Amino acid sequence: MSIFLVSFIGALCSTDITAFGQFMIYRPIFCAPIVGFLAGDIITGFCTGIVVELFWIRAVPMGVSVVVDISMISILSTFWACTYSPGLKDAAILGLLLAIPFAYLYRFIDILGRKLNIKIMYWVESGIKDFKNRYIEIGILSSLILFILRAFLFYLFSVTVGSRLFCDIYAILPSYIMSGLAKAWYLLPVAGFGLAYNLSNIRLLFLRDCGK
Amino acid sequence: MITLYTRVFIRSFFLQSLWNYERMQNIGFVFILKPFFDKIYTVQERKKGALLRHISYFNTQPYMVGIIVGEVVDMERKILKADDVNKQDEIIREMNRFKNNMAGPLAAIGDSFFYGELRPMLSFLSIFIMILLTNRHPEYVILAPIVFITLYNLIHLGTRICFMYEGFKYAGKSMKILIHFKSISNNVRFCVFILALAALSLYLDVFSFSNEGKLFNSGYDDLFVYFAVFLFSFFSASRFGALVVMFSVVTICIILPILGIK
Repeated sequence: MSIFLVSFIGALCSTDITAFGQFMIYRPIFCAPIVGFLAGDIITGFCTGIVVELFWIRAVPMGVSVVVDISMISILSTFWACTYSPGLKDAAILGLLLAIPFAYLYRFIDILGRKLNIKIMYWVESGIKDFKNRYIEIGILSSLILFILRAFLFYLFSVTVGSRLFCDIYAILPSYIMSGLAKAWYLLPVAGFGLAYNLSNIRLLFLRDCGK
Repeated sequence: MITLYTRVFIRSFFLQSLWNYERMQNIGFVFILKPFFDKIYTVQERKKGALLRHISYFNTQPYMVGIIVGEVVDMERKILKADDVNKQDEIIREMNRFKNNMAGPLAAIGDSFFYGELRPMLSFLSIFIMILLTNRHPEYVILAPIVFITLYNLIHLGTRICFMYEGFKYAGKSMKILIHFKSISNNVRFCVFILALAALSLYLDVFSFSNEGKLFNSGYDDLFVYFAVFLFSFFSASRFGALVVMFSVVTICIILPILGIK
């Protein structure tokens, strides 16, 4: 699987979070197994997808909040694990831990992009005042293209730099850490279930009944 | 007219493309309404006035925007028909009140139902199918994410179409559709609970209690470890967040063998 293809898929998934559609293709439960399938190791993809989905089950953009790009965590970690160490559980967890800083860095860039949108918005407003109504379409399209472009370029950067980091770190890991990471492969989904139970609206079901 | 409604519907997917911190979805909302304004306003000055009316702050849940669009389109028609300036101002004030008052509650209902209940329910269903297929028919495991995306978008697109249709057809009365949400919402929440429990049980059965998922070779009880991790994440989730819980679990897994627990 080429880095351009994974970057393109990643950029599409990131765009789905807010900029276009909200079809939920950015959810780890969907994008991680798809990347795993394309990279030839769907089981790693689906296990990574389960962990990220459960840990960030309430990570959805509401109001002004800019959530961490969870599709980036799942796609990058699945790609690294499936490409460089297919079938290895410790490598999958290492990939997961390594992908998180990249996703947080992208959130910072995403916030800057939204600040740039303010300028585009004022430009569109001035266009409407001058009877140039095409500015509305141009504004929407340019913002969307900028969004896809910055996600694509960031994915290219992350995949390239991250791949090098992933291989270098994995090569020097002591055996006891690898053994610990392999254990975490089994325990993280259980921890994710605990987290999902706590954070999702399941609790409200009981709180509501207790109040009666 | 069907083409116009279709264009308005397709444009509703771009509501957040120019999302910004100052006025959020304002340009996206104007972008949705523009084909309608192009059709009804022949005088450029009036069209400009209509577009500028909607360029102020606007924010709602993207799936629910159809209701507001339908109502706004109906009110814009009334503004066009009103000859008296005072009458027009009155309708404009009413329209702004409606937009401001309804956007927030619709966002709350939509976020809570779609992001807080429906999506987690389908996520747990998909996880359940994934684990089941991995255990029995690994060659079909790709079906699980496809089930998730298909079911979610059937409901999501159905809702978008339904809301836009209701908004256009029953302008002024379209809010009654929201009454059904509460009863559906309670049932979905119960399904989330059942599916989450089923997925966890299946996961433990397939992975954790099998020989493959055996954590310790020196007599430590795996069930106790899984239970402890579950409780730890359950009680620490709200206070510390997902990242701290994840790194804590990984750190514990690395430290235990160093302490001699192998």
